[in-house]
Amino acid sequence: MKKLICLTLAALMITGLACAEIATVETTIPLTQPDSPVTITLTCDSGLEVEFDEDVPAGMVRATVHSDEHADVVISIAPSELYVDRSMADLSEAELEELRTIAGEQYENPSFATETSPEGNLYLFVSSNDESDIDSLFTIYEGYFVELIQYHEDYSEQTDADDDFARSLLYGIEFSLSEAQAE
Amino acid sequence: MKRKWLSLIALVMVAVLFTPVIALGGTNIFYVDTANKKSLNMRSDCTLGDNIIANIPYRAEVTVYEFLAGDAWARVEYNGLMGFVMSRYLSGTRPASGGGSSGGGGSSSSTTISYSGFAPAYYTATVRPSNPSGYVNMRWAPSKSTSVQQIYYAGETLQVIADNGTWCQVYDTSRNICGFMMKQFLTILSVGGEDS
Repeated sequence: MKKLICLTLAALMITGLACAEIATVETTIPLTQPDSPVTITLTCDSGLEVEFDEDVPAGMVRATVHSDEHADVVISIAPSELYVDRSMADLSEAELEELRTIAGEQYENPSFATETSPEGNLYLFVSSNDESDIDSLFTIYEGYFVELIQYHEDYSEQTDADDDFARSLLYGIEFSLSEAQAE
Repeated sequence: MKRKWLSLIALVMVAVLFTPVIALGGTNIFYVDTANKKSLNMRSDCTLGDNIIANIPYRAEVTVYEFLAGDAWARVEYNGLMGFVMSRYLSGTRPASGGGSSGGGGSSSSTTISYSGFAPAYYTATVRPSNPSGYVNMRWAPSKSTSVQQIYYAGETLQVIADNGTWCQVYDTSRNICGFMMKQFLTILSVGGEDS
């Protein structure tokens, strides 16, 4: 009987250790500079490579999240003079429609959808719907456009798994006003 | 006689030195081109804060003196007032009054392949996506229905080598590729590769 209990405990311990190994280790990466009026962070699998582009206009942030299995996702953050201090949720239906029109201007037949992150941020999803598959999801937070752009290097068709990968990144993005701004 | 020649050479040198300035003199006029056709804030410095000093209407003409902060901002004069505006809301051509940005990308002409109407051009332009965080497609032919060759982000610089008013043939010197981009997503920075 003792032997059986010992064996069971050993089996449980081994399983537990194996699970701990498998469990995803997450990391939180700041996407905005410390002096930015808004603080935006990305919490994602620590195994992902996040590469920041240093050659961007002032006030902008652009980071590429590389994945071995899925299409890369570019996270792009830029201030807008036209939406200062406003967020996507503050916009009227007419303003949202205007955003859709503008966002789809370079495509022949774009499709749109909205997506709400667990944090409650409204995102506008734009799909090119053409031979070259490029998808983007963007929101506005306190005057800052935050956009996730996903495509394969050869712009080939994206899979549902690619979409899920982008969505997992989207859900890992958190926003807050920087202390000085919040006062 | 020698003195005459020297004076002539000096004159020619002065003319050569000042030629680019004169050529660029006509290129520092820009127009307010906001995607939502609303006015643009002019600010006392290059930051987004409580520093608005004027509102410049959509399509209004401004004089640009310099681009700053990696071309993200421009020092401009409007109605005798000096200030700063975000350069992504400026266009080298006056946008249409009724609707649509310069070049009118929504027209049917942008979906059918046509190489007619292209005139040779030579100017530097920066990429200006419809969303400040977005991207612009470079396509292999001047039509929305053709495949994407490369995508470009805000602030990237391209050489425009031909222009038909709606589409520009652009050359990317860093990647050594050539393609077509809708003109409304480009901001002319300078003519002849010189900064304005």
